[in-house]
Amino acid sequence: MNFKNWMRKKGYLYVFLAPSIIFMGIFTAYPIIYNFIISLQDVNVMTLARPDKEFVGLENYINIITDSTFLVVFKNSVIFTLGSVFFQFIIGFALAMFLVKNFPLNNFVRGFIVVGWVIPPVVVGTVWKWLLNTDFGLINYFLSQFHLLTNNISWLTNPDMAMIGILIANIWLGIPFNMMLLIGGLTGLPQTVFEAAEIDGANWFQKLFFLTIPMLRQTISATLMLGIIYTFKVFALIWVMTGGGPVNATNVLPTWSYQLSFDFFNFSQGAVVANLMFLIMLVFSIVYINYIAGKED
Amino acid sequence: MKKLMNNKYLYSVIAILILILYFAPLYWMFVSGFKPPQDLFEYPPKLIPTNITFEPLQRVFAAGVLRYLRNSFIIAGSSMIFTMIVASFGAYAIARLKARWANWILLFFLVAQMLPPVLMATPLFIIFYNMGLTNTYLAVILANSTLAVPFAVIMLRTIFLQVPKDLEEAAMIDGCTRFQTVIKITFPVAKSGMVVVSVFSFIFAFGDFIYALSMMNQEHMQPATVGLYNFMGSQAIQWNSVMSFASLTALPLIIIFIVLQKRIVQGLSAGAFK
Repeated sequence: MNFKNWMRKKGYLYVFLAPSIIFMGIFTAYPIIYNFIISLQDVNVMTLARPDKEFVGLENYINIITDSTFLVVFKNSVIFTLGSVFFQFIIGFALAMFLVKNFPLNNFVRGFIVVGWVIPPVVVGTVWKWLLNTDFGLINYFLSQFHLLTNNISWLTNPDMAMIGILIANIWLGIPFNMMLLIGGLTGLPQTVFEAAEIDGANWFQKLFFLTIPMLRQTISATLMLGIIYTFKVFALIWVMTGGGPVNATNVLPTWSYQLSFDFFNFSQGAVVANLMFLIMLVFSIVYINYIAGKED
Repeated sequence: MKKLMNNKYLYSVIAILILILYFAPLYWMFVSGFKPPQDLFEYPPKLIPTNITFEPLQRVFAAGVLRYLRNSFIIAGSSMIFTMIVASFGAYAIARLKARWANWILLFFLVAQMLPPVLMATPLFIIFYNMGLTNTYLAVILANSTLAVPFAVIMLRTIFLQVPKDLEEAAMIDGCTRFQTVIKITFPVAKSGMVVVSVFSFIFAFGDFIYALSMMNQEHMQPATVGLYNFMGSQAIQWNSVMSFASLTALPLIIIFIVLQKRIVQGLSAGAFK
């Protein structure tokens, strides 16, 4: 078989594939490996440009894990992720249940809520920072109108409230995504089952807990897993709203990694935190991909 | 029948209320950008503004918002073009390859798409720094493409799987090379899907913050997201100007969304699981 024939039959596919593989190799696979190397070296502003950086073994890992900030940041990451996913899911699910009903404006509303998803997180964070402003924010105004509070809440400057502040903003941001995925699942459910249950006298709760949720199990698991994966890496929203503060109250793994690298110029420790995130994300991604692959077979 | 009709209208009213409630933050962003300072700090706040001023807008223009937006368009547009060229051929190859290792490549793209941007921020910064590429559009465009390329490959692969091979074979018989066939037959057939993927790539790159923040410290190159962040931090916060800046940053994406709404929503529900 000559070269021209081989190219025409099969070789062209390798030529087509090559640019994306080369690009991802240089700009994704290599940085991941390089990140691991940095984490074993001493890389700071002084040594950044030097080719021979000192090898320090696991010192950076030990420093990070024994740092008292580590536990705080890790706990914050878990609270932020689970808190966001829980409320995004519940609200997204309620909206999905409502908007799959057949009425004149359902498609219009469904489509427009997705606008929230295309707006840059930096903009969302900025807007919520204003809405949650202590003295002039709209949220405190409404809460006091309904007599839910007597003193204005310092949402983003009080260490006890800041986590709730960023959670509110992130929940708002994530609702459309959850809603869209769940609507996709709900529209695929067979209507005859519900009709049969209605004839048998099932009420709304029975239908929800014994029919909708069990039949939607796969969509629900996929939505929750994707939610965890996407929320765990949120950076911009938090950085804009609190910068991880006050006193680490909203510092999560992504913001801490950024701080270490780009505020303190301790690139090695920034890389350590990023690597810990990478491990956690890798486990979640593989669980998710396995789950999806299992579903398709 | 009458009850059903009533129900339908009641549902529509509730749906509109949900929409209003959800969009209240964006409404507030928009109107706050046109309020004079005294109205901004008025208590109780005026939900519908009575005094409209363009002064915040003027201040934002003076701060160079148009330059920041232009940079955003340069970065997002280039990322989109680069991503589509690299990813559409890659996705096509994966869709047509029958070898088992093609699945491993797909898995690599799937994982890559889920990686946190902050993971790549440190190593990419050092790599670009040593290449002398910090403070260039190129660095930020390439960094954004590390997210957009795997995403686009995964979406486009599913789209190309649906293009019938018969069409391609017919073109080959007519004397087209493989490359011509893909360009003239496959891509046009998959056009609407490709438009959606391009729009997604654009939206991602337009919204990027971390790469531009870490790799660019020169104001004249920074995109609107970083511009907004710096604008908010640079002065005692004047919320009307900040909201005006935020509105202008979101505006291009809102317009793109409204124009292509149907396709984006379809794409989001079709592609998210693959």
